[in-house]
Amino acid sequence: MRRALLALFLRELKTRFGKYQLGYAWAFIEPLGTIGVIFAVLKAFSGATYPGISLPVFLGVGAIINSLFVEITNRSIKAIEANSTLFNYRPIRPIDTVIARMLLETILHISVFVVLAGLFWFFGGEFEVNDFPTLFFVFLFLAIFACGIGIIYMLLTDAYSDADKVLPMLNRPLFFISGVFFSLKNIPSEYWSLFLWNPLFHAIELTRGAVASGYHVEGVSLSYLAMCSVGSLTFAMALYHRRERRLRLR
Amino acid sequence: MIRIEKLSKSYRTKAGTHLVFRDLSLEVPLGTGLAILGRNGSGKTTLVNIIGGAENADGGRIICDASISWPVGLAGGFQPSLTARDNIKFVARLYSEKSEIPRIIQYVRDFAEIGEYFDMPVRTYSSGMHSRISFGLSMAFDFDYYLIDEVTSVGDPQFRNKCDTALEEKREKGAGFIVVSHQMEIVRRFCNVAVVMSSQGGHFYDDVEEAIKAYQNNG
Repeated sequence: MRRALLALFLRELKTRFGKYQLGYAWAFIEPLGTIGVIFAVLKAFSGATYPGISLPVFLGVGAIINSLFVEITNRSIKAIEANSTLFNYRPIRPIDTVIARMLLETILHISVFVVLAGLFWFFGGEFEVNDFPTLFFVFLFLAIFACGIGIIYMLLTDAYSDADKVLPMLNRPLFFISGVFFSLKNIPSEYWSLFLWNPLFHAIELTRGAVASGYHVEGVSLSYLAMCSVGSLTFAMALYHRRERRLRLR
Repeated sequence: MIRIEKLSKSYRTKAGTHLVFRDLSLEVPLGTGLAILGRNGSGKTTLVNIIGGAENADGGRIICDASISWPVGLAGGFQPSLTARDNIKFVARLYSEKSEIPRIIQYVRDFAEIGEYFDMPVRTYSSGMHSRISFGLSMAFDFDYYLIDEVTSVGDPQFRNKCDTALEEKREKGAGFIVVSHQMEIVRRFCNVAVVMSSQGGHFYDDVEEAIKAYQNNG
């Protein structure tokens, strides 16, 4: 890893959790809390069933995947502004600040995922990684996809100062349309196309299939997710190279 | 050596294009100093930032085969919620090998003399303590050139002497300097050549005394 990236990564890590007494534990408590709340709401108000997968696993996967995307993109928006004095240190390029945050979020989410898996296994929930390559590539492609979108968000915020209010708003509905608490099976097939443009939907369903062998996945594809990640990163880098000079100036 | 060829910089403002300098050329051989003189707002810091790499010029080239420091005593380079130790570690990771990091931390700690505050969050520091750390951090590395943008009057007299001595040692070891200062004794001590910035742009003098004369006559 580049020196600057490693240094920024460790700095972000310490800054994020250093000030809390529970420190790094918050990385795990927070998402578990979110999952707990959705679980309670769904248990109380919805009778929907998901064959082949236990409800906590179903929701846990949805919440973590959705949160990975939302956190990476939201934190990229402020990455440049929060770190602008650091550009006095020559080894740091503006994009390093975004990549460091992306790496941190990805590693945090994977850790949470592993802890969650351990909890499910411990309490006898049905959690069994039956397709590790898919799991690996979903996280990889999703992180790349989010990083591309994050860079685009960051550049938009640099160009239009109001974007830092608008973009997090765009992210919010994702929770409701990405299949965090429903699956394609709950939707008549003529409406599938309303949801399947969204790569997050693919990521969530593929992950569910990879950790619950009884859960039947249809309609989604890893190659679509891969295409989205390549597309978003390519577009982001092209934009970034046109704008890098300006970013340094701030 | 730092060589600047036909460097130009302007800002776009609502009132139109503001020219900072155009076709500025100069050379600072290794072990010598460049003074940047001029009134407030004449673009001194802009030029320092461009030489240091924090800003880009619009045109021209900078040819540089040496290491250049960040602005000595850089304000705002620290993360307030982290301790001095963690902030120093961060910069040390950027600029040196892993094995060097403990030495750098120890150096800054001895230099700053702020006791147990060293392991407390930087936001709890007084401005004096802040500059002790940031100045010490700049001195912990051996750069070919040091960027000094008005950091002279930090801290108490005793600490100021210490800073002076540290800079003097760097000079004796053969370091070069890029200095922005309104104190001519400092300019004379560290610089051989100078740029005088004015509303007409920058003018290079290869004799610092001439530059001081020109600056004071127009100032």
